[in-house]
Amino acid sequence: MAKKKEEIARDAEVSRGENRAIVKFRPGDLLMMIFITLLSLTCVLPFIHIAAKSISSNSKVVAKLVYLIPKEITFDAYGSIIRDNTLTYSMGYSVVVTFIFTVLGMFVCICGAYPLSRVRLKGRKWLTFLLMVPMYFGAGLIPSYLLYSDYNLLNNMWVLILPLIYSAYNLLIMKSFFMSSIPESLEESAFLDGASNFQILLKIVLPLSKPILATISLFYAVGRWNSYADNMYFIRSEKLKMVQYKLYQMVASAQEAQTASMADAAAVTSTPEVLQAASVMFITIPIICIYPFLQKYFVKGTMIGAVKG
Amino acid sequence: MKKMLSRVLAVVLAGTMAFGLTACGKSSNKNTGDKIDTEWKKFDNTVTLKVPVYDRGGNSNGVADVVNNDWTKWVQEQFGDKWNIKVQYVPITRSDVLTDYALLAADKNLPTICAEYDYPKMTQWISDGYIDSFDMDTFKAIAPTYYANMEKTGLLNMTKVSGKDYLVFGSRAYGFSTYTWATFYRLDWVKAAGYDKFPDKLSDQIECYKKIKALGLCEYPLGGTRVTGAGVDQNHGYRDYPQNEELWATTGDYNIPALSTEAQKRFLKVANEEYNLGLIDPEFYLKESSDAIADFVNGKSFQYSCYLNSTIQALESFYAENPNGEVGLMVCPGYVTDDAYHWSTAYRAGLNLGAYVGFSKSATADEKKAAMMYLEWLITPENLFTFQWGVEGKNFERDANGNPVAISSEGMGHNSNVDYWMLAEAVKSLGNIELDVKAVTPQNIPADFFADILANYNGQKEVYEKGFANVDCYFATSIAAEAEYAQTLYGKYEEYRNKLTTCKPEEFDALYDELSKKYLEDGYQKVIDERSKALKDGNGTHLK
Repeated sequence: MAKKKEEIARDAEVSRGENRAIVKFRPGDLLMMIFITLLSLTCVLPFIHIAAKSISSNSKVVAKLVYLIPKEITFDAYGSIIRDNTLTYSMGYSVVVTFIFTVLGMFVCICGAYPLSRVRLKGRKWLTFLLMVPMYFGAGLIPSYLLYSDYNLLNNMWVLILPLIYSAYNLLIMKSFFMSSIPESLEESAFLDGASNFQILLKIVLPLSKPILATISLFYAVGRWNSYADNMYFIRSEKLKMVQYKLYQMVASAQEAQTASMADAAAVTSTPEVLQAASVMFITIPIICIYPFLQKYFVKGTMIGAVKG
Repeated sequence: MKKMLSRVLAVVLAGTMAFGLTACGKSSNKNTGDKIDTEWKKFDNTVTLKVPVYDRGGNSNGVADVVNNDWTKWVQEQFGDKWNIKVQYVPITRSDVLTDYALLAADKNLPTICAEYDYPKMTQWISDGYIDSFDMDTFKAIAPTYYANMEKTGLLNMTKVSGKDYLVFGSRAYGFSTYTWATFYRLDWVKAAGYDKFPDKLSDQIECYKKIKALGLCEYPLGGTRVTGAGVDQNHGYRDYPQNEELWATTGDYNIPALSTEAQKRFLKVANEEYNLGLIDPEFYLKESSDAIADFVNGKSFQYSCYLNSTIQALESFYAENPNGEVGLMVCPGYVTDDAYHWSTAYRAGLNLGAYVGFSKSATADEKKAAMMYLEWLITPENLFTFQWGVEGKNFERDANGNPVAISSEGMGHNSNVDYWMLAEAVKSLGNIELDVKAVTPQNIPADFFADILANYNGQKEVYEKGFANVDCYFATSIAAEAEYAQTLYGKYEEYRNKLTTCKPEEFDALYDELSKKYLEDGYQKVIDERSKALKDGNGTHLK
């Protein structure tokens, strides 16, 4: 009973628009704040370090004298990146690929998740089981390569889109959401009003599922944006490489130049660290600008996955 | 019933997966068995020639697309169009060559020419069926200049694997020498320690380091970095000469560190002494190669090694940070020994071979002929010169003696296009060591290292001519244990050598014996046995 009273008092504090943590500051809260600050710093400091390197002179960076504050500030590296439009082109291309991928991915995911979430679909357990198999088993690199070769997908933009638009994980999350959030009774009444399956999906289910649509779209977009292994194996043309893979190549070529065998290293030049840092910033800044606006959907998605997935 | 259904489904799924795996690999309808015609004439039907070119990821750094640039267009105009050959370059990721070739081979889509600098990779590809054998007389008839260049190296026997001709190869000027790899040191510290130049003998060198440390010029003069991978801790300076042929063939290679041998024991014992004298950074195993540059630039280490180039960022940074600093270049003094450490200036000589070239098994007779024609066209002096130096006025100018001097590598790609002309030559050479040294002497810095680089070359030449710089054994067969255990042994070697470097001097001998035994059990013994068998079967080169 006493406990209940305490809870009511807390609710009252919150309902008055006051932050309980500030009204009643506890040692636990302090520890938590320190922990979260440290955790945040592990993300923020490397970013500041790269940013500082990207606008420092080459000799200071080579000497590892740049930590968080830039030294001998110069924007030459950014100038090089902008003058040589390769990265700018790749960035635009990556945005296009990511957009198409996300749209098609969402289409496939909705078309898969909605029927599987409905009790009236016969054999849905078996279908769900079959659709989950790729989550646990993969064919491997060479069989995939041969398959894409047979479909003439190699060295083609669509190899970055079609193979991955079906995601068992995303489908599972969306199916769980539909099952828990869209009551069968709502559909039944729509049926009584003469609505077809597609009408129900488009006019009732999807408008009621905006949070999950935003979340899964974000999963698709971020997943595509960040992955580059398929670029490495299935794409050979420079014009079809996504920006993340170009960044990987840049870093790998610098590492390779440092450890190259005697055979071919006599005059291999590596990408200067400053240029690498500037490229990282150039690619990262747009995402960082967008991220604060999308963050809440990520949190929602995590919650859905954690509780019902 | 439900259980039964689950079982049936599981069996079907497993069967599908197994079938999928066995179906890895395509069948090819190409006729690859026709005899190659040796006459140079325009092909009636367009022949596609696929040539590999390393993709080093330079496209994001201002380097043109490796498969579509002025040079590839130039090749098509000058060579392809003339003979009705469509020259198609295939980008090979430099950091993942094996995976790229494996994927292309599975798809029966290998480049017509398969090329690599590493001989073991080529023998592996031959053993895996990627590369076809060919008739050397046919090759000689189509590509006489290329053949003559191979003949000049005196290593024509390197074309054979298991008794058949599989390979041709480009040449490498000054292959015996490693003069393009240089070690720069703090000459000002050496002078402060009372020496004119860096001492020749190992015991004097250690004394010099100790004095530098005692003077407080540097806490850990030898610095140190993490040691891992192929080619590390080479023990040529600690071997007994003349070498025992079997020991040389089985443990004297570049690929796998030779822990368990007496020479490696001597090498590591010196490292252990240097560590216990406080000359090596105690945290060396955490440091990467970029830390070594930073340490040298910041005055935290005595020396820094790298490949020579007209632009060396580390040196430029050093002089920017230490305007009064003085740097020297370590020069091989010729053959010098030091009995105190059973040490000498012996080193690992290379062959005067460049890249190894094979012809894909999935290529047709016409495609193979086109590949041989391409090699001949490439090695023709005027074509090779244009490829290596570019366009006069844009990429190079002539000096007073008419020799080319590079003015810009703009648009030339890495190594001034070496990834294209590596099939003919591995390094750009003007045929004269002084001119070649001049081309790699670092510029835009206060010091001029030309004389030291030349002296280093001459010192190495003396060691080589006296027979103390031996080339590794080459096996004309694939050593399967090498491929199987190399990665494991790299990891184990790093772990064991760190223990051996950091242990107390009095514990070293017992620990070396213990870790050697483990290393042999980790797979090194199998590598040794397989190499020994290959040598006995006549599949290995001999010690010269």
